[in-house]
Amino acid sequence: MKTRSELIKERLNNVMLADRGNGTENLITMLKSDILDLLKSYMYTNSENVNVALNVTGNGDYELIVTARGDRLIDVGKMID
Amino acid sequence: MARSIVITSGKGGVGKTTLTANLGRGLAALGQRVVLLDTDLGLNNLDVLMDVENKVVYDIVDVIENRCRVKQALIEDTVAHGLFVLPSAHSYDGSAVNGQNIKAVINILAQSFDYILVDCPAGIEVGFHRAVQACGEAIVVTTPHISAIRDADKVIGLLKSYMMKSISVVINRARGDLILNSEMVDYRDVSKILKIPPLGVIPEDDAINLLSNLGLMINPDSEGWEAMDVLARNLHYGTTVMYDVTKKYKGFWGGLKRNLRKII
Repeated sequence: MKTRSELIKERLNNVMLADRGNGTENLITMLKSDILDLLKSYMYTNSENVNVALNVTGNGDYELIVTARGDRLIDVGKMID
Repeated sequence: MARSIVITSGKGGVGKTTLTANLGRGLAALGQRVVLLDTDLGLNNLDVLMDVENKVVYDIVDVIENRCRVKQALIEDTVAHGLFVLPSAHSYDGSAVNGQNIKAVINILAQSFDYILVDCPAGIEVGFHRAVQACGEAIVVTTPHISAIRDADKVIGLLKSYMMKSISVVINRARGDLILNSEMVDYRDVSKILKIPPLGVIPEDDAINLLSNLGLMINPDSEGWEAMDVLARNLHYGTTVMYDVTKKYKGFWGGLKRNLRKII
């Protein structure tokens, strides 16, 4: 069972998550656009298939979660040739 | 070179003014020349805590508006040698005073003092920005309560945009008994969540409340003063010693005290 101080820490993190997340919409949009540009060099994907989420972890660190789906990978070996 | 330090919190009632007064006394006890600057225009309280409210002739607004020289407005503390207070105006909306004005006063004070401690108003309105932009360092005061920590986080975000030389956090009103019972977060948790190094921990001490109301200095053998002294040393010498607020609740008698407090 969690102690009360652990529950407090958890609540605090949730509050921080919401607070620190506020106003980061622009940052996420920019990040997503840059990540998409990068990913396009390695896979065939588009904006709808890439998800970018910014979370705050238990330590108060930011955690960026990127998920991307693409129908084909680009053959990097060929590009180097 | 003089250090100008703003003491801020975001949330009101966490002990900014009390901490400013006692940190000033702690630094003065280390032989430093200290001046306390109250920038809470219209809602001044530092003068009352320092027991100088009856000695105020000129205040910071008089200085800024050239009605007197800085030294004429300074009031020396009756107890601590080398400690002075520059009081705030008791009825003033503050609209004509800006950060540059306060910075100019600090620059003059910097010639004669080692430390300029600036008591910041609560909130993140114009008064906060006015005080913060005039200082080189910041101490964020919080209590181990969720609302105070949340507000401290917002304030830290704002302070970072001012390119402060250092930002540290003081955890005030910590309860050793609750920390040992895992019912309160301790300074490590607070510092970790805020991502700011801790400068000190001050226990919840009835003596601080009582003596602040009386405008007196905390009893030198009390827990509160010991913690303030550790804090002042950390600030002055750059040490990172944290006062152990749980120590009086440890051991057989400590455990008894802790459980009795819980029952009562």
